[in-house]
Amino acid sequence: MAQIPPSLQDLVNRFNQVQAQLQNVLLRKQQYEAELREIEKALTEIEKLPQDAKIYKSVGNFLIPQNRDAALQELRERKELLELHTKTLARQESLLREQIEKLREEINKELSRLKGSVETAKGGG
Amino acid sequence: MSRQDVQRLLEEYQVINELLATLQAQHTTVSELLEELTTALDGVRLLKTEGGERLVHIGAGLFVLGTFNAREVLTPLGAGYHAFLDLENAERILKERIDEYSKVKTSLEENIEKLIERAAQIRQVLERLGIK
Repeated sequence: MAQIPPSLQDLVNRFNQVQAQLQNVLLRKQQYEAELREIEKALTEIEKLPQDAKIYKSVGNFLIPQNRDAALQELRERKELLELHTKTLARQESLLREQIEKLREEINKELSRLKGSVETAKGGG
Repeated sequence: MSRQDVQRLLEEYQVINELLATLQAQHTTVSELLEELTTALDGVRLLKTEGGERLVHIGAGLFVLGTFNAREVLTPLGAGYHAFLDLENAERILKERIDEYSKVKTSLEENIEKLIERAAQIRQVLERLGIK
């Protein structure tokens, strides 16, 4: 079995590392987006309610009474924060995808170079 | 077919089976959720029908006789918030949730179907090559 050259091994390691980072970013982004959808749903429903509506917030095993305005404010703040996180993660995602593409190209170049040198060696033999 | 191709097929088969297990677990969860939502919807509709006594299941096949005059139910709105809603709105929210999860369930079923097909194709190829 031919030994993988250190230069190629290094590229492959970096590729795997960036790939893992991307998976992590995508997972977090997905979680934030799911929470955002949930918040938007709650906002839509609470906005329809009258000012004196009886609203409760789930805190562990308890349901704590909360007024409509406080609930709306809390949800809007959380929504803003999540949107910020999502944008940051989207930027990270595109940067990581670019890195992956560059590394893929470098790996392919390295493989072509190796293939060429192996064939040259065979031809010379 | 080279040894590398066979190796690749075996790897793909393994990945497909792992993915199938994950999707089937998700399908079970979504199905249970849908069942729960449907039960809740039936309950809300039952409350809407006027008067009369109801037999209410309290677990382990035990029922109690009771009358209800609830015109509102404490309904989950999402993100950990609940509010007392009239029965019409509670029913609407439940229907929306059911619709949402039904779409997820259908999508999961389509993906599971595709993966099962692909796994069967690979299995046929491997069996032809005498690999069990």
